[in-house]
Amino acid sequence: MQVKSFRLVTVFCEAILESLVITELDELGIVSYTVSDCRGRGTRGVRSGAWSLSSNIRIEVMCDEEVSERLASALTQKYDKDYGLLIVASNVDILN
Amino acid sequence: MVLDPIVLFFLLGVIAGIVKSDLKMPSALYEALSIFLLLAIGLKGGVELSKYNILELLPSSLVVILVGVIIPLIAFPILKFVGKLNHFDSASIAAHYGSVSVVTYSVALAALAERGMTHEGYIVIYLVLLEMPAIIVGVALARMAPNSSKKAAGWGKLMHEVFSGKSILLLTGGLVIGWIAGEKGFAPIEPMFGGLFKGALALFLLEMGLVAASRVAAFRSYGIFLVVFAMVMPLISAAIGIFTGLMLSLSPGGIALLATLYASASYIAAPAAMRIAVPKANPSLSIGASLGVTFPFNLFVGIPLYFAIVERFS
Repeated sequence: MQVKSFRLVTVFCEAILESLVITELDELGIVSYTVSDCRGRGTRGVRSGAWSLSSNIRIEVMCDEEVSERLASALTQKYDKDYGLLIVASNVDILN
Repeated sequence: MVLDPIVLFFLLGVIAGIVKSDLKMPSALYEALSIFLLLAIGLKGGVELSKYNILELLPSSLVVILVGVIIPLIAFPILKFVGKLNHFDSASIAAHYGSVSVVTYSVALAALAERGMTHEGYIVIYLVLLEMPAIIVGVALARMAPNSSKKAAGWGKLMHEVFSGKSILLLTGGLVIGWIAGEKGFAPIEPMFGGLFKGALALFLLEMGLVAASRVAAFRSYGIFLVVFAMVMPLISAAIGIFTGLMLSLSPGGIALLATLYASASYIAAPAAMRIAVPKANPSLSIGASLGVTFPFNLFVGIPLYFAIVERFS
């Protein structure tokens, strides 16, 4: 079986940014993504998820190293200053 | 003064929040209730509207919108020069106070029914029309800042956010459906959207109480100016509303409703639009003021006061 290796980029951000982040993915040619609702606590306080403006989302995409860096720098440049945003990446292998 | 039971539901929610109860409304229920309320208000307004000639409402609608533009223009200098808030926060809060709250309007409707007062059914059109102008004024004010960033989301994105937002969509959709259905067509669905309205509103207010309690805690650190503003601004807007209602020669019930509309501050449509359009504004300030102070103020003091004033003069 051939194993394919990718960078898994996970973006944690305010739910209101969803469509803006997805526009960014489109521009970089990233076709697949997974979005899930989440809640928790960070440097900007508790995000309870009780209503839309205190909700967070987690957007996960897989891409190569170069695209992941372009994505991170585009998002950081546009949204990091004024919105709750955290971008992490790890190496993953696709097994099927 | 006897408090309307639905207002007591709000109080219960606040208490649950303060004592850190494990009470939490499922967010799906909150969503469902808000969809129900918006549709119910739209439908009932549409049925009423079918009794009027829409073209005749055009001049009064323009007056109502114009006043809706003036209110944020009054709020902005107060916030910026008296309150010494920064330019972006001032613009964002001004937009919240110029825009309207559907739930506050619903409570005023319930108060009308309680007092056996009637009103012009078409006032619901004003509710729909008043949501947007102040948001546009707020964004325009924010963009006038000397160091405003050019990267901010464009007007197109903002207009899409506002017009496709569920509140405008469901209110307008309900209006059109109610208008087409008329009294006769509405009768079969009346038990759902008419009879259950107040009970659903009570449940929604319970949730609003919970959210408001969580906002007040965060709001404490922002100083006395904003708390005072959040109680004085509705009074200024209500006075303007009463004057506008008299000018348009509305019935006493209609004047009280219009005053409540102007006095209310948005905490659903405006926050979402401002978060996208004016990212530099601190959302805790505007939501804290509109939801944590102005909404309960209107519920407990404002609405009874506006009704008392109107009753005295008529």
